Amino acid sequence: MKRTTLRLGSQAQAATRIAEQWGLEGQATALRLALRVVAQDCPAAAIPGNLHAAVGRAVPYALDAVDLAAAQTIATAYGLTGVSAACRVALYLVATRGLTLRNPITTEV
Amino acid sequence: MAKSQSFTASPARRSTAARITSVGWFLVLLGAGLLALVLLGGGKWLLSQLPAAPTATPTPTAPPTGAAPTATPTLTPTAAFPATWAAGMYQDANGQWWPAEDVREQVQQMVEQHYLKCDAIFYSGPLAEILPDISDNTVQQCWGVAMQGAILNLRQQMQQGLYQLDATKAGTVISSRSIAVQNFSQDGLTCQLGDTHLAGQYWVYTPQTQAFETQDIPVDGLINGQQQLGVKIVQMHYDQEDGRWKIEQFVQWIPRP
Repeated sequence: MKRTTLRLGSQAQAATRIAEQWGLEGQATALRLALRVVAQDCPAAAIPGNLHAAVGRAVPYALDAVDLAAAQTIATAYGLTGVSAACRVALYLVATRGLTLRNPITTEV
Repeated sequence: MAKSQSFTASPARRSTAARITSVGWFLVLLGAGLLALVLLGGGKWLLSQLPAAPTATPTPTAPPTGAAPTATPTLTPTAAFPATWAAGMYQDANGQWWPAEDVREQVQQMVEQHYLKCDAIFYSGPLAEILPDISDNTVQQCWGVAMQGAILNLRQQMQQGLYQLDATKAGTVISSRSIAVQNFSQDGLTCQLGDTHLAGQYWVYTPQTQAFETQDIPVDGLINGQQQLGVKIVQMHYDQEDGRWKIEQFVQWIPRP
C-alpha cells in the first residue's frame, strides 16, 4: 500500500454517499472500489470541467498497486492529469451511474 | 158513413228540423256555443291539473354508420400482479430512472426481500447439496426465464453425477451484508441489485468426515487467494404474472479492495 495524497474536492462527499449506499467500510474503500470499477470499462461519458481542477484540501489515502494502475487507466482514457483527477472522475461516475457500469455479461449460479 | 167535406187529410209529418222555428234555431245555436265554451275551459283546467310530463332527456345521437371508423375492441391481457409503480417512473438529474418518491422505498424493499428469500434458499447449505434437491417451483420463483434453463440443466447434471462442484467453491453464507437497489429501467420492470458481502462463513469439505463444515471468512476476505468479500451485482426483473422480482442475470462481482 502506498500513501497517496489526493484532492477530491466535492467528490469526497460523493465517496461518503457511495460508502453509505453500498455498505462499504468508509470513504477510502468506496474510492478504491470506484477506481477499479471504472477502470474495467471506462464508459463513454461527458466529464464536467470542474473535475479536472484540483480543489479542496489534500487528504492521504492508502492505495495499492492495483488502485494506482486503475487510476492511470482512467487518466489516460479521459485525458486527465494526475491520480487525483482520476479519483474524482471515478467517484463522479459511480455516484451518478451506480456501482455497476457494465452491462450484464455472464451468468453465475 | 160518409166522410165530412170539411175534413182534409193532414200532410205527411214534417221533420224535426222543419218544425223548429227561426227563434228555436237561434236558441239551439246559442246553447251549443255555451256548451263548447264550458267544455274547452274545463278541458284546459283539467290539463293544468295533470302532472307535468317528464322532460325529454337528450339522448346521445349515434354516429352515422360508417361516418367514423369504429374502434375494434382489443383484448389487453391483464397481468395478475401489475407493476403499479411503472406509471410513475421518473428520471433524476443524472438520468437514472426511479419509482415515484412515495413508493420508491417500498419497491426497493420488495426487490430486496424477494432477492434475499431466494438467496436464503440457494445458500442455506453447500451448493453441491442444495442444488440437486432444489424444486422446479423454487427455480421458477427465484430466477428469470433465461436463467431457469441453465439452473435446471445444472441440477440434472449434478443429480446424474455428471457434474461435481469444486469443493473449494461450495459457497458462502453471508451473515453481514448491505443491499442497494438502483439502475431501474424506464418501464420500472428491471433494476440492479448490489449485494455487498461484509462478513460470513464459507463451506469447507472435509474429506475425513466426507461432510461440509462452515468456517468464518477471514477479515481480509481471502480464501485460497480468492476474495470472498465484495459486491455482487445482479439484474432483477419483475414478473407480473407471479408478482415477484426474479434474478434475471448476474452482472458482475467486484472484489473488495
